[in-house]
Amino acid sequence: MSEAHDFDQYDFLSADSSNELEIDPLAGSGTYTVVSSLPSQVQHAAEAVAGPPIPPASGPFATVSIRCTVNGEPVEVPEVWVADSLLFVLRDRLGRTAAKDGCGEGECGACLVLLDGEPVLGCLTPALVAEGSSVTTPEAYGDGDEVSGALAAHCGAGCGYCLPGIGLTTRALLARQPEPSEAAIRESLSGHLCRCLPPGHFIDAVNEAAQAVKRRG
Amino acid sequence: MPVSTPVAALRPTELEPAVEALAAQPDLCVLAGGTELMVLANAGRLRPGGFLLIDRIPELRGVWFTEQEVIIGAATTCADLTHPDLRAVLPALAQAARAIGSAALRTRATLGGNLASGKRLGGGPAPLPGRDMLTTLIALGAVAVCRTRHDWRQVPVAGLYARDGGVQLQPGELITAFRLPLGTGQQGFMKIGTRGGPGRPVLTLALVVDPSTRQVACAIGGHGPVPARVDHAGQWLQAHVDWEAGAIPDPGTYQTFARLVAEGLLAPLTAGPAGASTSRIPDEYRRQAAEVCARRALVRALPPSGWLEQVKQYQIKAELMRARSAVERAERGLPQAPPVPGPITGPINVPGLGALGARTDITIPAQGNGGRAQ
Ligand SMILES: Cc1cc2nc3c(=O)[nH]c(=O)nc-3n(C[C@H](O)[C@H](O)[C@H](O)COP(=O)(O)OP(=O)(O)OC[C@H]3O[C@@H](n4cnc5c(N)ncnc54)[C@H](O)[C@@H]3O)c2cc1C
Ligand code: FES
Ligand code: FES
Repeated sequence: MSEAHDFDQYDFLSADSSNELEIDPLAGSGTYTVVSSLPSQVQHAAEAVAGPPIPPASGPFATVSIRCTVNGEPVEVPEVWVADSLLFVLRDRLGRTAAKDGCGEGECGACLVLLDGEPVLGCLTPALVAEGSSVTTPEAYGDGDEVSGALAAHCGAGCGYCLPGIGLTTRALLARQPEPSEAAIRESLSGHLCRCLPPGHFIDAVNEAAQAVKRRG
Repeated sequence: MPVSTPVAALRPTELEPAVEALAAQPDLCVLAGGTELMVLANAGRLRPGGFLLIDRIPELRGVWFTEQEVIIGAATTCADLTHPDLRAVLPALAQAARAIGSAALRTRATLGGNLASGKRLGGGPAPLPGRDMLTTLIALGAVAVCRTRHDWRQVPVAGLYARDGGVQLQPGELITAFRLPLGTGQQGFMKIGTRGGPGRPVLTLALVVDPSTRQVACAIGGHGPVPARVDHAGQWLQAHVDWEAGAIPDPGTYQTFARLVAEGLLAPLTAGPAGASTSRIPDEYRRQAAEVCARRALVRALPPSGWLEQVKQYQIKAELMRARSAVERAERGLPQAPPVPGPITGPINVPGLGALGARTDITIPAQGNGGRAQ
């Protein structure tokens, strides 16, 4: 058996184990399965999506200056590259790091923020789209509310990376449907990947948050 | 309003300035939702000269119901398409939109962006994207409406692509809308994929029943560069349905139909390079998948009996949407005129046209505001 062959096998095995398809822990409908975002995978996926590098346009990076409100506070950010993501501007230019940088390609939901109240993926929304809009990041709930309380109680055993995004989705869900069915909870959380915990914890947390919000009235 | 100095980003609120800017600055990159472009940008594979944002142009977003057709603006988001009102009239479109990414992705991902995805930004070959919405639009017999500064162009959606699946838009051309015949019957969309992401699905299938013309259109995608209509299956089925009673008398009909659809995968029409992430899918698996999906879609759309009532419901809902459309648009201050040059009079009728069939473009000169009432 040649070395090359060994390498191929190793490569195949490692790719295969990280490639293992798993049912999205939070996707109830089972419409499709998602791949866990291990680094090798991300690169693999990026290649599959993007193909060979596209030669950059000549000349300087096109930049703009952006004004918007973040959690109610007006901000102005100069020299934003037109293709900078909202997530990058929030985290690296404005220091609002509660929204997390997970996969950078729309799969994991860790970067979720609200743009004029609508949930969007921070990593796939160009920052310049926020011009004149209001952005809500998980920091808006920094003091804790029913949702953060319930997530801490039920999902505290995990690393917490997915929780800020899940928190915002849960708040958006409860604003729409104060008493969501389990199917509705699964459906709305299906855009979030969690590597630490099984889905049951999140469903319990959302149910508890819903009850707590109801009690508060 | 000609644009003289290059701009880094432009976000017009009307169609005219958008096409003028594109004509003046050809290196502007059209950005609708950005869900494809930002993946490229984040990976360091895209460095645009500037962006033309088309997400704030009311003419490009929304749905118009007219006497003859449904017109959907190109920048309508996948989330918009899953709205219950639309789901009631165009269920296959709503189901296809619902199967794209996650809810937060669908708030921004658009129909036009889905069909125009996979543009070769720097030239050269690139893996084909999913373009899941295309399968449904092909089954529906949709026509794409494109606009440059001076011209309108209308082409059956399959005609937007080259033989290898590359997008064929002219320089400075925007897709403004898709025109569909008014749907008044049962529809379904199915998808089999290894992941929810932007990679190519193994199979997509859309089934569209039109009880008024007694036609069943079916399109399958995922196997080749562009989804294909399998008209022979629909034609065969036509004679095996009791349209008067709303029934399919012979239970064997479903299986035969499914087999005919799966045979469509083998038609020479579909030859071509398979997409990146499904190239490892064995043909036999895909054939079986097509058969199972086609059978299920048909059973759901036309069960053995008792669907006449359902057909009436669809007709009532379509009638209702038509009646509401203009009034609600006026009430909410939305544009009354859809972004199209006028009723289609030319020979653009799509049924029977295969995915890679002859192109029947019509070019109509744009006069000022595109010939529409202000
Ligand atoms: C996590 C994830 C999951 C996904 N899942 C799926 C899936 O299941 N099925 C599927 O088919 N796709 C999927 N996609 C791809 C996604 O659907 C498409 O990227 C989306 O519909 C593109 O719409 P957009 O408005 O965001 O496009 P953009 O990124 O804004 O644009 C895409 C391309 O289209 C061009 N364009 C956009 N609008 C127009 C127009 N009106 N006229 C001319 N050119 C235009 C742009 O210039 C660009 O080249 C997924 C993507 C991600 C990130
Ligand atoms: S970082 Fe993963 S979806 Fe945005
Ligand atoms: S990813 Fe660790 S808690 Fe969800």
